[in-house]
Amino acid sequence: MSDSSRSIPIGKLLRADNSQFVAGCRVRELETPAFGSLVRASLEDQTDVYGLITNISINDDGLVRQLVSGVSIPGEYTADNRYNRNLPVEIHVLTIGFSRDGQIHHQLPPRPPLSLDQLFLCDSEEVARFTSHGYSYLRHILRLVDQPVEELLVAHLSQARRVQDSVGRPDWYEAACQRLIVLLRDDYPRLTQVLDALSELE
Amino acid sequence: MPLNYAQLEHSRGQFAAQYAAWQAELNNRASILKGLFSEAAAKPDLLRQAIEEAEQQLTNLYLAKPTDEPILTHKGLPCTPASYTLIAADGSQIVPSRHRALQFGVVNVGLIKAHIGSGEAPEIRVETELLALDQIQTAEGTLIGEDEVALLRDLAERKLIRQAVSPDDLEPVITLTDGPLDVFYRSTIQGDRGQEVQREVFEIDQDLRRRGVVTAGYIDKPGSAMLSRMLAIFQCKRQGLPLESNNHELNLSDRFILQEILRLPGERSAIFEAITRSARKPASSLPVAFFYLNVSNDENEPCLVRLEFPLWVSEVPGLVDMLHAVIYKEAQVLDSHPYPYLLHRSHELAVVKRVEADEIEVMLQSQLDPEIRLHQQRSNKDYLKGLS
Amino acid sequence: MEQRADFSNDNPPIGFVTGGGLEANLQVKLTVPAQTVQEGAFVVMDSGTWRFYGLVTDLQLAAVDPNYASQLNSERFSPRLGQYLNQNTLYTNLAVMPALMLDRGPDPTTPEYATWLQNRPENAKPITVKTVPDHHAPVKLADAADIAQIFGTEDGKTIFRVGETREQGHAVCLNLEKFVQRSSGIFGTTGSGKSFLARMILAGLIHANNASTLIFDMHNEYGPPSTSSDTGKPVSGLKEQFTARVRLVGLGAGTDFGALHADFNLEIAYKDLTPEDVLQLGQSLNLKETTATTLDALQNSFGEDWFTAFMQMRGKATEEDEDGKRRPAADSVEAWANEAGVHVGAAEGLRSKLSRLMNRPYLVDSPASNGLAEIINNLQEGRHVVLSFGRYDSELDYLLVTNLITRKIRDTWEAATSQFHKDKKKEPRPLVVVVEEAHKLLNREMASQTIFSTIAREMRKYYVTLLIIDQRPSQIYDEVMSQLGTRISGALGDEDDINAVLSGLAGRNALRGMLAKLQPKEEVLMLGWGVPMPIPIRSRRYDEKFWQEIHKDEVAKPATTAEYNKRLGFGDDDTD
Repeated sequence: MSDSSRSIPIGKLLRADNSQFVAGCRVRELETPAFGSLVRASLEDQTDVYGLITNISINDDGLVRQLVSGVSIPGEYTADNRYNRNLPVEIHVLTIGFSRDGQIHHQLPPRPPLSLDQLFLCDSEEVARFTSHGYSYLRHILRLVDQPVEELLVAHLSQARRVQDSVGRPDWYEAACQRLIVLLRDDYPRLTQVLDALSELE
Repeated sequence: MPLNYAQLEHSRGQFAAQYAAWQAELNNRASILKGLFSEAAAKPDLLRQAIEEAEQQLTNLYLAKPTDEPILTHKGLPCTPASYTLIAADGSQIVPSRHRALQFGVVNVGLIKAHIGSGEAPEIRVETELLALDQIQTAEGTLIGEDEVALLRDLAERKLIRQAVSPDDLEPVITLTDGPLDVFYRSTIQGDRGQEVQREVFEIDQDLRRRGVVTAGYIDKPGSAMLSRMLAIFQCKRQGLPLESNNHELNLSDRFILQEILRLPGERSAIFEAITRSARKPASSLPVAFFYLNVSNDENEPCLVRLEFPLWVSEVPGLVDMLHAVIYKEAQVLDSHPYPYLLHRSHELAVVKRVEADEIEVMLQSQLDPEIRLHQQRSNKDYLKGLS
Repeated sequence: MEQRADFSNDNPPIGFVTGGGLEANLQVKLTVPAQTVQEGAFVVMDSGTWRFYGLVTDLQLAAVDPNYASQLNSERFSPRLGQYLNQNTLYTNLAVMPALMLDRGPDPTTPEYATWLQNRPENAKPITVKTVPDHHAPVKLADAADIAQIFGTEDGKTIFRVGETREQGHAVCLNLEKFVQRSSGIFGTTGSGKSFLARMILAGLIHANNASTLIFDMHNEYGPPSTSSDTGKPVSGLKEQFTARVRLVGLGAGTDFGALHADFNLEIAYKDLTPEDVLQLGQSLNLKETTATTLDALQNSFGEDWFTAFMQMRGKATEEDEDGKRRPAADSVEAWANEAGVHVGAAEGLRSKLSRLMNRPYLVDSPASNGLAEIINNLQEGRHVVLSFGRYDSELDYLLVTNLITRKIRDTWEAATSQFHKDKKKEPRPLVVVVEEAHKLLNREMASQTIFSTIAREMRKYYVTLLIIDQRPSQIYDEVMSQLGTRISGALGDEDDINAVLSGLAGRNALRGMLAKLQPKEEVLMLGWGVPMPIPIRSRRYDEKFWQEIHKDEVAKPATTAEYNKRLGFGDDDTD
């Protein structure tokens, strides 16, 4: 089980299945998690479930909808809705692996995390550890449908590249790109979209 | 829940006919009252004289009394101050019920304070007060009713408002509560307890007045007939009849009388003083004034609300204009359904849902001695209600 | 061919087998840049216990999806991503013509290997492919040992280095023993370096000394030193390099080569001229159909002196008889014709045409020495003869002299062979007759008349083979072409010439392109029966260094003729 003391808690689990889960947090807690970040839910049986943030959704309610149509809303009331009102933000996470007994696996975990399990943002060391076991977890991302896979890849690769560069493995990113090309080369339209997106990282 | 729709179908034609007749009656009343209102406007001295006589003669009164402003006044929207403090408070309550396993009462007050012009998020407070057992029981040993709990709630609101006002607040400071400022207008509370609350409220009102805080009560979709009662007195006076405010034939909500006068969005009516005479009315209370305000932003759909404030406010130059502007602006935040935003928020903070009430009950039960807990049982009727 | 201890090959793989077969070529997906490999590269593939040897015959660009190839990825994406994309989606397919396979036994680290090595036949040779390597068998460029395995290791004698592989410069050798067992050909357009190639091969043959060579040097290129037409530098002739072994013979009295003197001159006696020699000049002399009859009558009348006699007759000579009538003079053609019963007009016509031969200075009534016999003696005794035509470089001279000599040779070797078959005493010395401008002698029209097509077809039995050198192989009678065992060709441009060189060989289609794209003066393609498999090579330079290497290897004593012959397989009755 990872040392949670250094990780930043970003929310608690609302619902989950084996391949994805959703955590909730308040708007005021929303400064840390970012699209594509590696996160971890720690289960009681010493299993850590790892995932990437695929979506952050801001919920509304009747009052917000009513305010949206208002001509002029004082800044104070915008702040009120953001910081005082109890509208949870939903963080959607794609499961990409797990670790047990210190061993990283890029398969789906045997069980999903449970309700109200705490969700943590992984620190650099954890990102380095998870991404240093090959690239097979990329397949989970590529399986996504109706979601901006390219953007997710770019966000994740950019985070992982920064981390891997900092631990002296600058070739990690190159190998990741090559792996992606091999995985996607039979799907020309999709691969070119991914590469278009990755080109922006260069 | 099944409904007998065939039966409803049968009755609805009849209902429509009745409703049309009633509307015709109301229209009829409105045209009489509008005529009287114009007449009274033309004879302001006679009107004032009639009201003052009624104040002398009658012990049970709830009506409007003209101030120096002509009663046909309609005043456009003044400028809003650049900065001010608006505090809204609202409360909800759990009324003790003999159907529950535990008899308990809770008053929950939400307060929200915004420093408009600061850009900062408003400050929110929630006060949840579990009523003491002797508070929820009458001298006769029965449980207190809804009105008494409401009174306690209103008092809690006022107390929280007083706490919330701080010397650091941006001037002017306006507080806003839902409903009439006078907390006794509907109270049927017997005995000393009411007097006790009244003293506290009066003390709070005076304190706030000293600090220059404008306390306002916002009455949405007002149903009261204070103007029609005023006109009923006027009619008696003019016809030389004994003064009587409760003329059933002239009973109509003030809105219908003012609707055509306050046609433009943001316009307010003349300021009236609210006159209350009742046997139970405490000796000391702050005089209250009010005006009607069209909070709509659409010329074709006027939306009149009543805004009550202490009479002293009308005597300080500029304060009524400031209140007028601030409340209109505040109601505009919610656009198509104008209502003061902070008042809605304080309600949102205060409201206690049924599940929450149940949670409190469980919490309270868990503290009880097991022996005692055994005897506390929920009524079957209440249990079964929860199932549906 | 050398036995190889193990089959290690330290070259990195260049790709792996993805498909194909024996009929079509094998397909190999290249894993290195395309430019690492060239058409004609010699590759090996290990699969099971076999090592396969093949030749790259084509390179084709391919893509996982054609879209990847149709746009400039490095411009559309970042240069680095574009590069990765290209690396992973674009590749090159090789077409590999499988040629040979060789059992390489079990894994050398296993105990079975020792057993296998012990039981291995002493002379395990690569065999023609009969199966295919597995999918994904790694493909490597052949290393020096692989090439030696197939083409042999240079031994300074019969295993003669003719050049190097183009990519890695590994030596490629030609087995000269095998080369002379059947007729061979050296081809290439003018300027393809054909004559340097021929000099180099001839030097190898003379050095190896497995067979005598008779070189008809029409343009005086081989025997005497000459000057390179490209560089202007002097080029060594065979005579100066092999002074003792080579006899330089000048045609006609007084033919000389600057400072270098002919060993002797060849004058041909009239009586050596046979009717057959005349007949095969039919085209050059524009002979009529009646010629054969007339010649027959001449021989009947005068025996071997027929030519002298015929030439001494007078043409339209008449004389008056006793009656004062005009009649043909007694020494006239007409008189002889009437007497011999041949058509007078035909005889007179022939006499007039043959007078052109009379004028050839090397044809004499009685030569100072018997040069013809001397040539044959030299060849029989194991020496080599370069017959330089000197100034007599007309087609008529060439046809007449080559045929006349070669026919004498045939007679001599046939006789020697039958004598050997009778008494088993002296086995004839194998002989290679080198013919330049071979299409003049072996074209479709001439082939039936000249002696050369006979040699190409049959003379193997009598220890004589041809080495033909030509720039227009398509002009050579295809029956002759198909008899050629070994073919060494420089660049050829003409489609017909290319087809002619490839006639009768497997894998023609694959080799055709290769032949067209050879680098002139540098590269040649070796193919045919005499080489284990076709291979394009950078040919060995014919220069100072070449001669140094040749002479360094000069071996003391060649084996006896009989021994050689046995090894060469001459004298066998089988004609294949």
